[in-house]
Amino acid sequence: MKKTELAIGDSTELEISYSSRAAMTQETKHVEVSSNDTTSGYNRLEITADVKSKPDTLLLLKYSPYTIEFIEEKGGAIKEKKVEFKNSGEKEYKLKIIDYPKELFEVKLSQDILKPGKVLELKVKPLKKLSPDTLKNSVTLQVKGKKEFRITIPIKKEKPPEKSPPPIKWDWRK
Amino acid sequence: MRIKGLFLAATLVFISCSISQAGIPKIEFSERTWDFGRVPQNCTVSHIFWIKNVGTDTLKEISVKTP
Repeated sequence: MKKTELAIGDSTELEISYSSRAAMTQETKHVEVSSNDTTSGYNRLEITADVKSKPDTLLLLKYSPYTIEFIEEKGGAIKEKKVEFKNSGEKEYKLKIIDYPKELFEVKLSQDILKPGKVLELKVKPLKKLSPDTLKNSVTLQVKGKKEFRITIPIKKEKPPEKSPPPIKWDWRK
Repeated sequence: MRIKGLFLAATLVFISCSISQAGIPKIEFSERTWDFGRVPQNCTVSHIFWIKNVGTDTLKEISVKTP
């Protein structure tokens, strides 16, 4: 959280991260927010996730990769990343991007409707140089098919590996 | 009697003004629940909740606790 005090009409963001472990049924976590507002009482913010194994064999909407991983190239350049969605079912899917970090990325779908047997792309382009620290974010999509559900794709940029010191050269003939 | 009435009215106006000037902070959230949907195992995902002060006084001591 960026601020602990808000003037009248002011707002702040509270980022909540969730780390999944083994595949399971739906998991719910919550945090409690308190302040000097005595009228609101107990403020509970809740997140839910449906943790799935990789690959998600039960889903007819296949996608790859499961995680968008940015790697910094020489000179600090970071290329756009793509996630490919394929409809392996018999009914069409309608996809909509509903959540992503707007200040960091531009996220676009090549099309909204995915007909059976067809493929579409989700493109994720960094808007600025990503922090050298480990970045953990995600893109959430609302999918409408036979049923309505959501898919969240993690975005990460790992800290580049530290250069190991050069090996010590020893010429035994000296 | 008339002076007493005027004094009472003035007191009531003063009290109501004092109450309206004190104000109260009021916390509001963009949403209280968020569903990530299908999430791959062994990964980290995140969502931003927005907190706004819609009250008439400064919202202080905002803190977050994980149970």
